[in-house]
Amino acid sequence: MRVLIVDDDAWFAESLKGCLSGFEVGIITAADDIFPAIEQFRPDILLLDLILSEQNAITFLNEFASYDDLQTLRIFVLSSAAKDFDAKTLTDFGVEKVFDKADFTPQILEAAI
Amino acid sequence: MKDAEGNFEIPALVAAAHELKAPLVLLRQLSLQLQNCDDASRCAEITRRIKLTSERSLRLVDGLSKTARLEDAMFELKPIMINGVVNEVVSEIQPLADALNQEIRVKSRRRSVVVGHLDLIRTVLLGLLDNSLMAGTAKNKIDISFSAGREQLVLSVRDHGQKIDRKVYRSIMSNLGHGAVGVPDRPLSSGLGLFVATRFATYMKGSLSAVCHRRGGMTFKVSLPLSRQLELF
Repeated sequence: MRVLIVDDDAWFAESLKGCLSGFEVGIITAADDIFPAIEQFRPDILLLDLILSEQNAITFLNEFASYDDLQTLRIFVLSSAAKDFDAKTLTDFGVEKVFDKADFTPQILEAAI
Repeated sequence: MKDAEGNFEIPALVAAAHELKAPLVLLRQLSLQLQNCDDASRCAEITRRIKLTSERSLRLVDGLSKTARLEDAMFELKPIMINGVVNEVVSEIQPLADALNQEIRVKSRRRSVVVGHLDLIRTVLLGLLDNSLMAGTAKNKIDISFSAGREQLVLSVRDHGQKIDRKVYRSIMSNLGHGAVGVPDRPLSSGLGLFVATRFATYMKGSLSAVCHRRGGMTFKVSLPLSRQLELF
């Protein structure tokens, strides 16, 4: 199963990749690179941070919602600011589940999948 | 950080909590990875990152606690040779720059003496350099320079991070020192660090300002009063 991590903290993303054994993992650190990475890497799951450089995740989710051919991609939000966002707003954009970085483990993702 | 009645300002506290959460989250994640690591060189790299991340957090907490003591006027101002402080600070933050594959260059060598407090100047400079490192990417260069006018020395830290939107820039400038505002286009930068730097610069009868560059990056400038003691000789 392919997981694409979108997080501008490269150390966090690399460390998370190191913990996700059993998955094929790609990393994107800039919001502008998400769509090209989706086309190239063809992930099954997107682990998306909410606060990114250049563009925030809501802008991406808005655009994502308009592409019918991408709706099989499962999106999970993984963010330190998870509790600051309205979960319903995120699920309206197609986010399957919201995780807080403070207590996230790979087992939690496996259970969610 | 306290209002007129001596109560802690809530927005600053909330911002501090947010900012301190990020490195703690990273430390937790790195330690999870270290638990399952069986490659010696990989483990060494994770350990290095844990050390650097915890040092960053400690600097932030240290700066914050000093801010709370400013009102008690516990920091005596005296002549400080700025060159020595700059070199010392660059040495201290060099491991983080190396880990991020970025270069810090000191562009001025002229000996200058300012009136300030050594610890506060160090904290300001460390905060600005930390911001610049977090805003940059691998192979980025950060330039430190200073120039002396008649009354003030201006210490500049120029990074080549991404371009800042003009609205964001105006928001930063209007909020400097008034609240721990984040830098929206630079999530890894420390709004709290800028807040602390502004307070310290003001305490030392100086100021903090910033310029954003059309091709990307920002220059943060700290002005400090020049010492006139040397004029007596």
